[in-house]
Amino acid sequence: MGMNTKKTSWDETLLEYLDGSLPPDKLEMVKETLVRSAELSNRLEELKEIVTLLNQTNTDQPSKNFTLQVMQNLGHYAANRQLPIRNGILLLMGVIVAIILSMVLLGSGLFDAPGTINLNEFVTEPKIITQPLPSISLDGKLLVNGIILMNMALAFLIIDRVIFRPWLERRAHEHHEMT
Amino acid sequence: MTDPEFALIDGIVAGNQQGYAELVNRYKNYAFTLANKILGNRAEAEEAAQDAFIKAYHHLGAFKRDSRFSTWLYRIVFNTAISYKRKQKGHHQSIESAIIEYQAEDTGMLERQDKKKYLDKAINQLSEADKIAITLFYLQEFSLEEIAGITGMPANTVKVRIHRARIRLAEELKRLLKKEALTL
Repeated sequence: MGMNTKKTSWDETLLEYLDGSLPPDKLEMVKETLVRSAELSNRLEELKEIVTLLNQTNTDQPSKNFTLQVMQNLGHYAANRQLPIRNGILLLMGVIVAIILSMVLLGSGLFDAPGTINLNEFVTEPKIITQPLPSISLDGKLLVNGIILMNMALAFLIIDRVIFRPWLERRAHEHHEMT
Repeated sequence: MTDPEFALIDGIVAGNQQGYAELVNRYKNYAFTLANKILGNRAEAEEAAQDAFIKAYHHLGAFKRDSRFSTWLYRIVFNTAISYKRKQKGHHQSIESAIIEYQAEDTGMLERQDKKKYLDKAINQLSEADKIAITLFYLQEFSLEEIAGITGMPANTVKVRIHRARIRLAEELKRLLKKEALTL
């Protein structure tokens, strides 16, 4: 294991030597060692071979119409990124149903009475907490109103992404093509 | 220092869409090669590289001029190809432990062309991260810092990966040469 570590360490030094990234003092030391050690010189030749081959690596060529296809599809990106209209409408319907349901429940007076959560009820045996815990008052009406408000904001966002923006982008695109 | 490429980019951002074709032509080979090295499939690599160019076009306005355009572009190519790779089904190979196997027909004369062929095979067996690091290092002579910027790996890790990959490649070629000598 010790020999392997030493070998790896020398490999790294030799690669740095080939890359020309050795500091001057280390460079001299490596040069001297290479003169003395035939084994190390052979190893340098092996690594040099790889570096030479890697330097000759060529790029791959894409198809001839690569650029043309990119240019033709530039306009499709925005359309692809948009929420698909069907999914958007389904999401919008879900949000609207949630709003209506919340409003109906709110109107029925289900959340009129303020509720409380008694934390002591959740403490199981054996009781680690000996002190009595406080009760938390919960305003259900306020909570449901908050949920309705959030759903309304979400609905506006979906309408913007699914209907308004695509429409405006289509108009801008048509205008650009006409000019 | 102002990169002359930045003027071209400014023009494209201002609405000269056709100017983008020049950038695509300039970088398509490297972008495709990088994608191909990651995906190992020409058709998918072409699609990923095109996709990356399209994404780059739409985010060109967000390109900060603190790096070369190519570094920024290859980061997009890299990320796009990686996301394509994740979508590939049932094709996963652990790179660290991959064993390089060669066909019987590969034991012909190891001329330089042959060596290059073996080298390509050996590169394909490297770990994905090692393969990408070494491809970027040799294809366009990116600095370690630039490769770190593209791949999101620390520069020191990139350096270790390149060193390790080259040592492994050297071992493979040595093994092949020995094999060749034995068959003579």
